[in-house]
Amino acid sequence: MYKKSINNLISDTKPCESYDIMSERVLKMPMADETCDKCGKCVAVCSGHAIFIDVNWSIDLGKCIFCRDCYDLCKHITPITAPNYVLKRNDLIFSVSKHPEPISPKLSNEKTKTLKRSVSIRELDTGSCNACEIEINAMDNKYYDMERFGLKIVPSPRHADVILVTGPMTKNMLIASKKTYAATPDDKLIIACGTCAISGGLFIKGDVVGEGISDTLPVDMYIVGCPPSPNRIVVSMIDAMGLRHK
Amino acid sequence: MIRSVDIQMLDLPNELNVLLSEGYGVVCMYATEEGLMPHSIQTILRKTDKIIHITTPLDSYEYPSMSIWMPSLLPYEREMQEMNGLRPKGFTNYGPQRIMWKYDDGYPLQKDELPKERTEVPIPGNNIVGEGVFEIPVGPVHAGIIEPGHFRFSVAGEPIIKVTAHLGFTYRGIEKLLETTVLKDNIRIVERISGDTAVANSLAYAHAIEGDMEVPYRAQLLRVIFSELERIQCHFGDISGMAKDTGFAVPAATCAGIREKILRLNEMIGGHRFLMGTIVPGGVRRDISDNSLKAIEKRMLKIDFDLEDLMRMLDNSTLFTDRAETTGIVTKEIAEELRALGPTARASGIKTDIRKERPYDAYKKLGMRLYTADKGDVRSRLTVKAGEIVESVSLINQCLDRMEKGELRTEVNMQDGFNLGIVEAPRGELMHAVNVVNGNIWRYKIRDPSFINWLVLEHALPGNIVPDFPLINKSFNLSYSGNDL
Ligand code: SF4
Repeated sequence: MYKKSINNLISDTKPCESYDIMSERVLKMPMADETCDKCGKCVAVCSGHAIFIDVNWSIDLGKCIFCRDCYDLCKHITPITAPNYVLKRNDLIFSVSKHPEPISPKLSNEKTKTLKRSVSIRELDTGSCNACEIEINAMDNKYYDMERFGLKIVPSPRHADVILVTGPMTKNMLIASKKTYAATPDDKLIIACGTCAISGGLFIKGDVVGEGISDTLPVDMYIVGCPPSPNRIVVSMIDAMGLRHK
Repeated sequence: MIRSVDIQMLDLPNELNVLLSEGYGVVCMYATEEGLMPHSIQTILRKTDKIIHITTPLDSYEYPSMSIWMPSLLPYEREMQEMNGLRPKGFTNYGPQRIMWKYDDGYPLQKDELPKERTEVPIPGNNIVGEGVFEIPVGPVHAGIIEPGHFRFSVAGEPIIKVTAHLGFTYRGIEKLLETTVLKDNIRIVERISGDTAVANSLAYAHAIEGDMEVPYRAQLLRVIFSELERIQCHFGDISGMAKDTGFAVPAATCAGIREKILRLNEMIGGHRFLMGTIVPGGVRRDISDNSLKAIEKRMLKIDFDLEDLMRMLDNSTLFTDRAETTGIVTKEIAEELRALGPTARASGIKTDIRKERPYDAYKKLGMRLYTADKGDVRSRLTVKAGEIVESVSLINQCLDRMEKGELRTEVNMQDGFNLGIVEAPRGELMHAVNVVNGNIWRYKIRDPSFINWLVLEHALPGNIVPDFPLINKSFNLSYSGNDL
């Protein structure tokens, strides 16, 4: 009965988009082909310092800001489908010999044991440029309507299961972030949303703490994008927490 | 046209007074570290399209405070004290402008290496005491999905007596990061000053680097289209927020839907939902196809109808008008004295808009109307913003009509010296100033409209009730990250 009504809700007859339509719109990331001669020009042009060359042409997707300068530069670099999210920071490093795989890893049962079909999210801005906030706000509009999947934003960390963190963790926000973390009941999930939160992005050399929020908070999941588009934030959370099959 | 003059500190107050009485307003005041001299103060004044750039060398870290008799200088003096360590004599209104700590020996913008040690500066209270007066601290983590900022409300019952905004939580040190030679990275950083003003910021940066150079005509038109799309998107967000904060869910959801459509249009034409990476010094980065132009035209047609419906819905609702009228009034006097900017100033009856006063790019050839209102309340700001959406649509249509094939980019050679980019961002006049020495950016100054309008907001609040604060705040829609940098 419940499943049926959920299925009705996410069918395409409504103005909002179904899970399938949302997950079709993927993010593209740069990747060199086999004929890349490792000339290193793309390393110099990359503003995010995401591309590096050791044995192979490699890219750290956690640093990429998706500016597409590298496509303009080199014909060897072509867009391929990027993962929506990963669970470990190291999983974001890809190379010519390690392309992203089309699987969506699930958070371990240990971590999601307190979650049933409803997930309360508290958003924490640690110095982002507001683009991530606009996208997270957009998750509530009639196209994405995240509440039908059981995701909802709550006004206080006391009510939250998940802290969705954006921004590079500025030194000024450090104390407030730690307090927010402490105020959230235990068995919480921390999600790093966007390039700044994952790696510090362009602001690594600025007035920030460490490289991304993982130096301050224990991160469970990284959502890629600068900023990640609302459909991909919603889909990532559904996939990682297994909300569709609960 | 920029006129540069050198004026000694002794004469500066008099000179400013004279210029002020001639109708000039201070666009920005900032300090630059300079070789042997400790510092110099740079003042930029503007009267329509005439710009004066005053350099005042200082021989010590002290100078007589000018904000005592010229309140619009208050945020700049606080900022110079915090970022450069210049102490204004006779100035009592201390309080952190941006950061909640200080270096024991040094300042964030100094050229020498920064000291490691820093001490916390506690956030000061409002110091308002009396029977039944409470102080409510709010933030930095708020209930909604907004940026971090800390507010202190002094209230007696419901009505607000005084509010002070303590910002700086998103301080990332952008001005310092921009002091490099690497031009390519800079524009990426500049785009991320404030996510929803990416186009305006990169445009101001481009103008500052280009100087007096003209970019190709097609690029000019595209720049206008991008800026106006950004303005429409931003204003719809504001209207949505205002409706939401009065508890009027239907128009709020409609607006959010329209905004989403524009973000998707952005993605289609520029490859990014906030149009980051579309503007480069010397022109625009990519062409947009004829199909995209058609898509824009179609969407613009729709927006006019949508907006009309929406405004009817809001105007016919006593629920909304009751909350919005006479709430958060900014009088014309206050707006003039503090030199309020953008829609906030226009809602208080001040006719200011860079697109008209000092037109840049294709705005020179386009016709536009300036929307103003005179009450200065939330409702006035709403009507001004709605009017600006109509005007943006008309500007985009004019651009589409004039669109012709052509070059997109020209080579830019950065010239030594001082240069300025002033554009009209959705929130008001946005200024980027750059001092180039030997091909290196020596000092880069960004003055976001929010930097001034936060002060105006503090003056709009007293007398209103606390539950109206979110509504008033939304009607200003100020940027935290643009202010903090
Ligand atoms: S898209 Fe931009 S940030 Fe990402 S790898 Fe290419 S050049 Fe670097």
